[in-house]
Amino acid sequence: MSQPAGTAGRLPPLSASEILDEVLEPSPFVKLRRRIFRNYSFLIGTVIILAILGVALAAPLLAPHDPYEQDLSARLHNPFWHEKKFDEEHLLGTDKVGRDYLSRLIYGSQVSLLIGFTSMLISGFIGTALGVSAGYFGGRVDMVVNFIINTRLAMPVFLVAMSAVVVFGASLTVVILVLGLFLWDRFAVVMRSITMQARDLDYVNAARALGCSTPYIIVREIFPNVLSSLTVIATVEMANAILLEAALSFLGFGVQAPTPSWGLMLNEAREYMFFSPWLLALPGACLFVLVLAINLFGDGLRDVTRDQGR
Amino acid sequence: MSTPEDVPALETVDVSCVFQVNQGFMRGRRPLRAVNGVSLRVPRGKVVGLVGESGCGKTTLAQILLGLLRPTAGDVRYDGVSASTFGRRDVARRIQPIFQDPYSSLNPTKTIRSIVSLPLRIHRVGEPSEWDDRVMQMLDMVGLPRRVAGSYPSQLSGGQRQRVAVARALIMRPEVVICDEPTSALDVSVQSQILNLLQDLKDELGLTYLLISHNLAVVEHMADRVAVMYLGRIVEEADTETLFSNPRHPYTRALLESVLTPDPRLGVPDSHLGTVFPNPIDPPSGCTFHPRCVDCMDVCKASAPTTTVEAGNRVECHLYGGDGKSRAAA
Repeated sequence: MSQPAGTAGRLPPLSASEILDEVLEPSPFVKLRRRIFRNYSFLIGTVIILAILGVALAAPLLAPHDPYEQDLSARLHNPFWHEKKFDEEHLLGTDKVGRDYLSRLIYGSQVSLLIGFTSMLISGFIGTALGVSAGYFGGRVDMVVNFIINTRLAMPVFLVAMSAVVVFGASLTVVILVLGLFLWDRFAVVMRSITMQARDLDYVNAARALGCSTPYIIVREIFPNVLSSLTVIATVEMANAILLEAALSFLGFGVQAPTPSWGLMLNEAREYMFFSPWLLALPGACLFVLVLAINLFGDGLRDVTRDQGR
Repeated sequence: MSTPEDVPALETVDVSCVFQVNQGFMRGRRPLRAVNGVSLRVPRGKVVGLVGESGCGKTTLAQILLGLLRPTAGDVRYDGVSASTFGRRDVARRIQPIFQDPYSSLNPTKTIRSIVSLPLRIHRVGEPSEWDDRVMQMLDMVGLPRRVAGSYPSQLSGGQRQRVAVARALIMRPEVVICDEPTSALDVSVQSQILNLLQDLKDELGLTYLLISHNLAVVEHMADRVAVMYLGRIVEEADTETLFSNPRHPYTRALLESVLTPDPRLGVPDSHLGTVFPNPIDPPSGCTFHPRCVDCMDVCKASAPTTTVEAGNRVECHLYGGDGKSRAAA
């Protein structure tokens, strides 16, 4: 409610003609743009995410080799910083069956982003629907949703993922569905509390007094105001989903060979940890950079959109 | 007997609203009578002021009148017709609110144009091509420059925002406007502007206001009639002049005495309302005002007073009417 310092230049009483001359504050979008360009973590995160996204989309153009093509005569070639056993063909070397490591890393970004993004969309949809309806309607609906949230929190993701793999077989779809159907709890909890706060604000009362329907109020009046918090949780959950996918793939319950997935590459490189440590270090670094970038982006987004429109 | 002019634009008949309040884990629920048998008439073209302390049920009553809350008993009538025969949207076209806090009553993610035109869009009034013209006319009417149409509420000052809220309430030309503390969130310098605007628009558009406030000066300035509310009941109702010159209910007197004067030598006035506002879940027996009343009698603790009507003004107190006449005369 309080105005930021420096904008309080409106103390004298205003007549109608003076109101006309009063300088408006800059629009929220102008302020938002200013804050974005001052927020380095947001900028750095955005740049890295866009770069990885670009690599994933342009994978067929960027990858020097087919990521599935094996060449047993060129096994375990070293990357470019080694003098020995390095050939120009494979910039980042080859793995234990002679597949080009750079190409596999490039294609691996597709798997990580695809799984992170789609499972975030699914869980975001479920969690937002549950959370917003619990927060808006309260009472019985709230009780039911809370029960569902608690049930979900009582179920360990890993055990359920493992049993799902046993029942349905391991595939990309199963991993996406398991993560999507399991990571919605934070969406639901946060959306519920934010919607509860928004519901009691007078602009919602004003819309109700105008005869707006309940779906209209939820979608058009409340939803735009919870959107910034929603995007912040979405980034956190996307990073979470990417890490979980890597962990599942590492354990053999996620993406199956020979699909290039960073988690799976870690698993395959396990036995060469001491003699070819870069086989582990490279996909690990990729995961680290991607998750770090998403978290930087999410943190920055939260700071940039904080108190927006106040 | 009743001519059309006699039919009030807005009327409540013995309206009650009871909330079931949780007492905490495993302790069951108890009723809270936020509004307890209120009968109030708001005649067409008049301004009726509703005053009372925080928590006395003013805002609950406003929500009932707006159709946002359903009364648990009693009837709300628009133009003499029971509200139960109207749909939500019909009510919305007749009666519109102006809220207290213009910082929360405007959606921060919408432009002023979108906020003011929302009623037109929801009720599909006229052609979409005319909507923008009507928004502009409305902005002129409430004294806002047309260029604010494209800006967001965060760019406006409190007074400007309240003008936007007025524009939104009036663009559909409702008959009745419920002003719930329309100025108490504003700077003192802006308050009078908004009150004058409301006064001008009332004369221009022939509006009827229910003005809810705890600021007696505002009510005295604006209202034709005043109703005083205490713990969910209207304890006194009279025309403004009578009420301010000759307050009858002890609570009304205490409220008038509590008004601060600019003279510092007079100090802070003593309203005699020493004890705190009673818990509405556990209202006092008999007359709910008796623990704070300077004129408390034995009968006040035992039985609730009945309404006494005199020259169209009513008061609900044992001092008046049959049971307390001797005391009042003394």
